[in-house]
Amino acid sequence: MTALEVRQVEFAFPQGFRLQVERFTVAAGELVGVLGPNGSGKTTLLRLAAGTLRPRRGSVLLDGREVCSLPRAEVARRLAVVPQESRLPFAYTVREVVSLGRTPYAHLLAGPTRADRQAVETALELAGLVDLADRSFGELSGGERQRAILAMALAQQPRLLLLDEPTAHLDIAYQLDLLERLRGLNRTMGLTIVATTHDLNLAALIFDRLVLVQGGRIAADGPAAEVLVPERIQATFGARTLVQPHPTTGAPHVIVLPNGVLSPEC
Amino acid sequence: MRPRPAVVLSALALAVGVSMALAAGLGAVAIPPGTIVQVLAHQFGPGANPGAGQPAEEAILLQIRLPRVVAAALVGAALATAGALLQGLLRNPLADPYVIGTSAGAALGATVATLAAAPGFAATFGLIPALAFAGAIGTALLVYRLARASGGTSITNLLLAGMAVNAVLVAAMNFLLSVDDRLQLRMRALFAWLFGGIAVAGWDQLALVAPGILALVALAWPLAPALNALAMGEEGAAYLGVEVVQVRRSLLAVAALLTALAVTVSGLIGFVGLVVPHALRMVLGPEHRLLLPASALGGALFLLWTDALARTVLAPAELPVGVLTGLVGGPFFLYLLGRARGSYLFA
Repeated sequence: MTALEVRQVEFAFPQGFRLQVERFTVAAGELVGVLGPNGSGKTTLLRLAAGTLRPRRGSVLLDGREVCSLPRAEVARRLAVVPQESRLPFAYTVREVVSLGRTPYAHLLAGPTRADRQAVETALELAGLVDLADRSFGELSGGERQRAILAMALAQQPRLLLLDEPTAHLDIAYQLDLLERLRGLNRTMGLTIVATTHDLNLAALIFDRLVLVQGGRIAADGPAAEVLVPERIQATFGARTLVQPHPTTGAPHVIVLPNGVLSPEC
Repeated sequence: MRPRPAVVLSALALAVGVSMALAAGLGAVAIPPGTIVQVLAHQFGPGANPGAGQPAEEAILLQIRLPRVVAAALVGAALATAGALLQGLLRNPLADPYVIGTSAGAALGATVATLAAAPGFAATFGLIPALAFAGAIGTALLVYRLARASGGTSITNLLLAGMAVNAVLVAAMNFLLSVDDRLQLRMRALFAWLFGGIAVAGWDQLALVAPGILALVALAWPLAPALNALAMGEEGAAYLGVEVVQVRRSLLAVAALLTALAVTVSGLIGFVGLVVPHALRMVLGPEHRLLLPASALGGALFLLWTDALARTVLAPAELPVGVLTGLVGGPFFLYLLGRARGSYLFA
C-alpha cells in the first residue's frame, strides 16, 4: 500500500528555487532517509508532503487522497511532523507539550478524554520520557527536547511520520538514540517514517532506503549500498570520499578525503 | 504539580461573587455587607418587595454601585481575555489587548467625538464611547488588511503593522489636540476617558455591552486547543491539525471586539490585559482551556478591586482606575517575575 505519493510535482519559491519531482512514493511500513546538501530541497519536499506548501503543478497524495484538499485535522491524524527545532513561548511541561499531539482529536467543547490521556502516556513511554514528564520543556537538553517533540508527534497516532533533520544540533549519543528509536518504532509498530538528515553514515546504518536530493531533483533512490557510492557523493556534495563496509554492520561507511591529499587509488 | 482546573475556576468564581458584593459597599458612602444582602434579598429574593429598606442606601446600591461593579468586572474580564488570546496567538509575552492598534484607534475616535460634540458633557457622553468603539474596530481591521497586503499575515507583519498604524494615529490625535482650541475646554472629559475609568450611567448603558462581552468570552473558549497548538508556531500548529488562517482570523476578531467593547465602557485601562494572563499563566500553566476562563475571572477580580480602591483612597475624590492598575499591577507583576526566576518565559 502506498502511504505517500508525490507525482510530477513542481514547486517554485518567489526567490527562484525550484523543486521538480517526477515521482517519489513511500510504501506503508518503509523507513526512508532523505539526504542532500544544504538548500537542495529536502525540507521543501517534506513540506509538500505535509501539505503546508502547495505545489504549483502535480499532486501529493496521502493514503491516496490529495493532501492539500484534506482538512488539516484529518491530515494531522494520518501524518505527524517533527520540525527541525521547536521553541515554545511559555513554560509548558513535557506532558503538556506531548498533549498538544492530541489537538487533531480535540472536541470543541470537551476536555481531554481517557483515550487522549492514554495516547499521551504511551507516547511518553515510547520516547523514553516518563521520568521527565513533569519537567519544564525549556529546562530540557536539546536531545530531550527533540524526544519530547517526537512524543508529541507519536501522540497524534499517525501512520506516517516526517522528521526534518531530527539529529541536527544533537551530540552523537543523542543522534544515535533518536535514530535507533525511529528504527524501533518502524520495526515494532510498522510506523512509516521519512526523515531528512546530513549524516551519511548514520543514515546508512539506520534507514532501509535512501533518497538523494540535489538542486531540487531526486538524484538517487535505493538501498544505501546503491546510493552511497563515491562518484555520486562527489557529484552531489562536492566532496571526495572513500566508501568502505562498516566493520561490524557491513553497511556502507563514507570516509571523507581531505582536499589536496591524494586518494590511495590514484 | 499544577492545581486542578475545577478547583481553580470555582474558587475564582466564588471570589468574583463575594468581591462584587463587598466592592458594592465601598465608596463615599460605605454600605455594610449586611445591608447589601438585605437590599438584594428584597430586590431579587423570594417574595421580593422592592422599595423596602433604607431608600437612600438602596438607591445608591442599585442605581450607582451595582452597575459600576458589574461594569468593572465585565471590563476586566474582556481585557484579560483579549490579552490572553493575543499573547497566545502572537506567542509574544509583550502582547496586550492594544497591540493591534485598538488603543490608538479608540483614542483618536474619542478625540474626534470630543471635538465634534456640542459643548456640555451630557452631549459628549454617548459620542465618546461610540466613536471609540468604531475607532478600535476600524484600526484592527486596517492593521489586519495591511499585514495581509504585505504578504500573508505573518505574526511579524501583524506586529509591525500594528506599531506603524499606532504611531500614525497617536500623531493624528496629538495634532488634533494641539491645533484645536475648543479642545482646551473639554480636555478634562477627554483625559478622564484616556486615563481609563469605569463610568457607567446606570443599567441601560451596561445592557448594550454586557451581552456582547459575555458572548465573546464564551466564544473564545472553543479556540483554546488551537491556541495551545499555536505555541508550536503557525506551521507547527498546522501540523497539529489547526486551520491556521481561519483560527487567526477568529482570534483577532474576538480579541478586537472584546477590547472595543471594554474601551467603550472604561476608556483606556492599561495593564489588565497584559498582567492578568501572565500572572495566571505563572501559577496555572499555559494550557488555554483553563487559562482563558481563569483570565476572564481573574481580570474581573483585578479590576473590581482596583476600581474599588480608586473610589476610596482619595474619597470623596476619585482616581482614574487606569492609574491604579499600573501602580498596583506593575509591582505585583515584578514580584511574580522574580519568583519565577526565568523558568517562566522560555524563548
